[in-house]
Amino acid sequence: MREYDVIETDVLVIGGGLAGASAAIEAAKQGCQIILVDKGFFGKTGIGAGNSFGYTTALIREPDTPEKLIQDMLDVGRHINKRKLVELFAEGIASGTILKLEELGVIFERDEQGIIPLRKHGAHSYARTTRFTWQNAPGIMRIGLVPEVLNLGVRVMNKTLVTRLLLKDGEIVGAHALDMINGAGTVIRAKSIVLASGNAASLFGQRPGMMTTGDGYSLALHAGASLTGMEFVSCSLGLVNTRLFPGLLGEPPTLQSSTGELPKMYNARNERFMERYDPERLEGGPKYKYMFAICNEIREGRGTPNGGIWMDITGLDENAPNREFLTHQLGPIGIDVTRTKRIEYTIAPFYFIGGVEYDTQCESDLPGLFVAGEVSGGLHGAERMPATSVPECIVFGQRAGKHAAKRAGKLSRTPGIAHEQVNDEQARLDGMLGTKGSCTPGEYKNRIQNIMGNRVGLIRDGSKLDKAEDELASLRKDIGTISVRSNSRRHNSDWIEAIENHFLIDAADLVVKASLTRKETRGAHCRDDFPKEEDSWRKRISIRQKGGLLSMSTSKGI
Amino acid sequence: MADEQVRLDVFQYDPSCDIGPAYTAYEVPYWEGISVLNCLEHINDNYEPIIFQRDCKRYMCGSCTVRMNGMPVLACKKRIVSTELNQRLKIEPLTCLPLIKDLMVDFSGDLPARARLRPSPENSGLAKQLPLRLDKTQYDQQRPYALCNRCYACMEVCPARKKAGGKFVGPLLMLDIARLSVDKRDNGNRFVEAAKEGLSECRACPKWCNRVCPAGLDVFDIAIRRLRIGDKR
Repeated sequence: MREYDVIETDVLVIGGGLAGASAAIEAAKQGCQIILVDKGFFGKTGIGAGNSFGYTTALIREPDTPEKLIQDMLDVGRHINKRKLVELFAEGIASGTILKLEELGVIFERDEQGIIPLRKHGAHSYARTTRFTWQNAPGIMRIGLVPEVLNLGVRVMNKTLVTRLLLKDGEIVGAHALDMINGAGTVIRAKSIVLASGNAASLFGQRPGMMTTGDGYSLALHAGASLTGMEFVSCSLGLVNTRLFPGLLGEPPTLQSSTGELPKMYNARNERFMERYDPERLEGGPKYKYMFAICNEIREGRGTPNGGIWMDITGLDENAPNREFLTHQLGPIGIDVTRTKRIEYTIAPFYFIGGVEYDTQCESDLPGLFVAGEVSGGLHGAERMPATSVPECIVFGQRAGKHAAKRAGKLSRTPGIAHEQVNDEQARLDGMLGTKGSCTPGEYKNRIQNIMGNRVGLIRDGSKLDKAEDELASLRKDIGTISVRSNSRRHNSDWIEAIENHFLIDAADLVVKASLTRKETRGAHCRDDFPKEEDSWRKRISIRQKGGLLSMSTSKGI
Repeated sequence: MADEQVRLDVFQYDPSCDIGPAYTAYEVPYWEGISVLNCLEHINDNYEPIIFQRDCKRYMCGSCTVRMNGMPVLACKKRIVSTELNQRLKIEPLTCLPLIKDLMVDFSGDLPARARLRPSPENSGLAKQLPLRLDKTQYDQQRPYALCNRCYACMEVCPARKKAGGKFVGPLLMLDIARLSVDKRDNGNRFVEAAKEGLSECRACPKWCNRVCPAGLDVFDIAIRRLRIGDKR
């Protein structure tokens, strides 16, 4: 047992990305005392700070209507979205939530007449999206949200890793966090918590970032909260050579020419394979069509030797909307986009459509635990529409902050914690120190990634998922043998990575178990052995931990 | 190029307990396109723990800045070229931010100055409507500021910042002020602020800020010159 600091606040925000920053701003405006914790340096972490190059749904302009946006989202979500949340999203857009960011210093594109030129992405029935340069989300963070968080007096704790949520009498009372620099444990008591810790992208190879390791899914799961939609992982595209460039690099719409012409895709036989899958729309069809096509070409042996397909970028002219983005990103690895004809792309799972379940007040089923951003689930149903992730973070981040503040305002005192929980947690963490194990934390993470990569791809099937389940169970038995090369708590990166591996394997289990349960194909969840969308499956799967086991249930509510 | 090695001397120092910095020599197997970050990861994963910072691995977040042979680079962006295989590469942390350990510096030092950097559209005379009445010129002017990822390379290399001993906030923080000075939504007198923060200390040295900027920005133009040209509204 060792001593630990106990600090107190009204609202604790876990995660300093777009959703966390939005929540902190809103809660601070309501007059609450806020602590925002981030396991990196606030403003430099997560998908929003370093892996976002897309557009944002921002404006509903006649003849478009909020109802049409709702219909689009329900359609793409294959009608298992929580309709009430979709309505809130549309209302958030319609009321100018995204445009209001311009009051903080953000500025969206303008044409010669000073009008915001809106872009129409495939699945949207109308043009609705804009951006703040091609570094849209990082721009919004750096210029808009970070200064405002600080301006409002939010206390930011950097390099601080939340390891466990604390409960008393079934309500959230705080969290245990680790100072990653000196290894000290801190208990942060809070009247409300907003969990905005992002996704588990690290499950899928070297893709977006290093820091998003599914922390929030695991924290919520162990606290007893319900998660939904964990089977739905949206895929995008990136270079085959992930060692050289791990990030995402966009899909056909991203690479369109200045006149809207889409790039053509070819397999290893130089066939324009979309002619077989979607002869009318080709690369311009819905995402699920071309993503399935790419995956199928590769698995049926018509992919390149490195496991990819060819994306022809000869149409990426000087005024193409993302020419600057591609030049910036590919130049340093020796690809000159002005001369290169084709790039080798492959499938890259990246966005977690599901997550911690929440209601219209962004509260999970644990009183006091609010969620926002990619860690949350239920809004998108079976697949997310393009250009909706950033606005989701802003709209629901604000909402979570508002309701977290409201709850804090109603509590006369911060509820007390149970110190035994803290002692247990510290013993669990300290037990990992100095382990002379059989593999490094990096190797353990690679093993998780290999299981996910080999068994839980875009096209799934029962036998592969069963294998994944078994392999993860076996890997979990070995979790105590992760080497932590130092005994010290200070600057112990192995220790931190080992803790994150615990989060990752929980996230992996959730994805696999949910995928096994849903015996159909719907949206992003594609099963070879159940290739049709079944009416009987027009419902959501929820998972909760009960007595150490994952318990599933289904629901249909709006 | 098989069996070629990248030879690195990596700075290691824990200010809380070490007497002084030490450099450890490592050799990392070369592969075409290997970056400084790849080398650091290889060392940490296969040899011994070293402390460094990284996040996006695609030169957008600005977390992984280190000095290589004295010059600031983004570790994830800087690829080792074949001519560098003949040298020993010295890898050190930035000096313009407090050192945490080894190559990790404290970027939270970047936060305090930004608290006041928010335009005040309510005082700017801009009509209360959404979208705000802004035009293409303003968008084009604001663009480069959004593309700065605050990696501190320009701050590291700026000779005026070092020479002025605190009287000059440095190119990055001056960039923050410049951004607002050209923003129609802002009503603060940013030119007075810039003067107070040492704008005159910049002597346009051979524009080292531009030379090292990993985002390819004309830092001198958007951080210094804009302010010197003055209020053009």
